[in-house]
Parts: sequence; structure tokens; C-alpha cells
Amino acid sequence: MKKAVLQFLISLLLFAAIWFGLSRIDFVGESTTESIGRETERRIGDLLLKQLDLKYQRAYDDSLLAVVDMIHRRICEANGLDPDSISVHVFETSTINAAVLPGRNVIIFTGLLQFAENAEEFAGVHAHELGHIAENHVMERMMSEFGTTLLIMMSGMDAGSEVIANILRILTTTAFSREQEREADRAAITYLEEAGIDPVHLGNFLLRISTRESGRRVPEWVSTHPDSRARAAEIFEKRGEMDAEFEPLYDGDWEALMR
Amino acid sequence: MIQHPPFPYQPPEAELEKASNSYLMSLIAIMVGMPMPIVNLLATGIFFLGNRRGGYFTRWHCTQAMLSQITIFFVNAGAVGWTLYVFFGAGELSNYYIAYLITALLINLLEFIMTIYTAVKTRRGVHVEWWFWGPMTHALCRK
Repeated sequence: MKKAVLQFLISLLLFAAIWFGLSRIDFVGESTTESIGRETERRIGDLLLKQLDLKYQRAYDDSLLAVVDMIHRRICEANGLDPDSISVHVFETSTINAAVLPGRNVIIFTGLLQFAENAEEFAGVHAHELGHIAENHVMERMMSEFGTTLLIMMSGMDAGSEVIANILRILTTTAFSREQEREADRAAITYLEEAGIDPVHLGNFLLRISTRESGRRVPEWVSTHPDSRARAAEIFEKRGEMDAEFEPLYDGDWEALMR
Repeated sequence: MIQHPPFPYQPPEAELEKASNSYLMSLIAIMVGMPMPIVNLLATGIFFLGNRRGGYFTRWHCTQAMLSQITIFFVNAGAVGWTLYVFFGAGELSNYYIAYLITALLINLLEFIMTIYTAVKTRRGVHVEWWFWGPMTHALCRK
């Protein structure tokens, strides 16, 4: 029996060694666009979040955070996304913006929540950001803009450094490519429909911010999401093809929640 | 990996055939067993139960064949379960998953070759003991 146990342990070790050895081969291009690892991506995400923490306060209103979490979970669970693998961070600022950071992080500014007229509009924006995550747009963009070497160097830097601040500024104030925006829109429409949320509200939101492009308080989400009017038209067209009926997402008073 | 120690007695022709068949049983089932690992185990298990009153040589080889199938069952069940999780659950197509599939495939292939070899050898009256499963069989199979 002693011999059997010993041979079993050796076999187990051999099995683990072969498995681990093979897993080092990049079969699925998991280490992203060139060869930057998930760990590096996560570290960069953490750094950018620290940078945001230096700049803004986290939202602390429990009822607001609970609604955001409810919407996040509802969209993720209806679409086979693990809600806990994506972190949602809400920051207190009047800036009307939401963005995706590396490491599967979505950042939402309370200004955007206040600008949304109802929970469905926010859900539309959130679904759009989840689309960017699902399509890995943020790392594709960072790889093309900064390259592998800088990204790996960046992961070893400290929050507060000028480089990190600049990267955060780029990610939160400049746009993805038009194709990426449309991909995220398409994903958002599917996510919303699956979650039983009417996508027309995302179209309404896009249309509303497009009319503010020349206004006094220009939403930052406009600069990061161009062609809002054309994209809204596409969403309305897709919505017209659906024969589903949608229930209201949030039965509380959205405006009161935002006050 | 494979040894040919002497067996305590020279088994008669009928025992040789049954011992060899215990390996052939798992060989036939292995084709179905890749997507449905339980089939392998059931086939060998049924054959094992049918021969539990047979001669020591037959029982010894039925036990070795069944123990190897139990191990392969867990390896393949892991592969099938993970595949279902990736394609129908929240699992991701990762390098670890692909690496596991390849490792499982290699183990199945090795087991397949060993099974053919052992089926032929036992039919000729040669006693074959496998790495790990041989000592395990000695510990479990009483004379």
C-alpha cells in the first residue's frame, strides 16, 4: 500500500506538472493583444483606481449604491457574465461620465447618474460599458496607444505619478474607435433585452447628450462617445424590430434617489 | 510504467481469456467514454462484478482494469464538467482549460496504449502490472 501511495503522489505531481507546463502556452491569446498578462492589467487598473481615489471621493449613499449594484447584477446575470468578476466604482463628482478601466473595472460618476432621467437610462450606459469590458476594448486601446513595454513599466509605478494621471485622463476623456463604440452598443442592446430592460432609454440618453454637445454643461461622456445622434438612431431602429414588452426597472423615485 | 513480475501460478486458458477481456471491455467503451466518462466505468464495473468469483488471475486483472477506469473517470469527468461550465456556464475559455483538456487526452491515449498492450499480453499468459494501479490492485485483491 505504501508503494501505491508513493506512486499515486508521483503520478499526481506529474499530472500537475504537465497541466501547468501546458497552461504556459498561450492557446487562446489570453494574455491579451500582444503579451501583456492579466496580472499586469489588474495592477494597472488598481493604480488608476488609486489615482481616482486621490482625486474624488467615493459615493457613500447606501441606497444609491444598492440600486447601482442591483442594475449591475441584473444585467450580468441575465447575460452569463459573472457580476463579481467586474467591479463597479461610484465616485462623487458632477462630471457626467462613466468609463472602463483595465482589470474589469467600471467607474461611474454621480454626475452621470443625476443626468440620467431614470434607472433604465443609467442601465443603458452601464450595459454599454459592460460591452467594452466583454470585448476587451480597454486593453486593445491601451496596447495600441502605449505599447507593451510602457504598460509593463506602468504597472510598477505609483499612483500620483504624472504618467498614471495622464493615462487616467486619456481613458476618461477620449473616445474609443467608432467600431468599438458600435460593438459596445450592440452588446448593450443584447444585454438590456436579455435583462428585460428597454434599450430605447439608451437611445434617449444618447440623443439627449447629443443635444447638449453645444450647450453650457457638456457631458464628458459626449467626448468619449461621439456620433451620439447616429448611434441613438441605430438603437431606435433595433428597438423597433423587437416585439418584447418591458417592465420598469426601478419602482422607487429615481429623482429623489439622486438628490 | 509497466512490469512483468511472475504470477503465483500459471493461469488456465479460461482465466487468460477473461482477464484479457476485462481490458478489451474498457477499450470498447473508451470511444463513448471520452464524452461520457461514466460509460467506461460502468462497462468495466459490470465486467468486474461478473467475474468477482473467478480465479485469482482473472479477478486481479479485472480489478486493475477497473481501478484504472475509476482514475480515468475522474480525469474525464473533470474535462466534461469544465467544458460544460465554459460553454453553458460562466466559465472562460482559458489556457488552463485547454491545457487540462490536452493533459486528459494524453492520459487517455497512454491508458489506451497500455490497455491494448496488456490485453494482448494477458491473453498470452503474461502477467502485467501497471504503475500505481498494480500495487493498488495487490492491496485490494485477495487471493
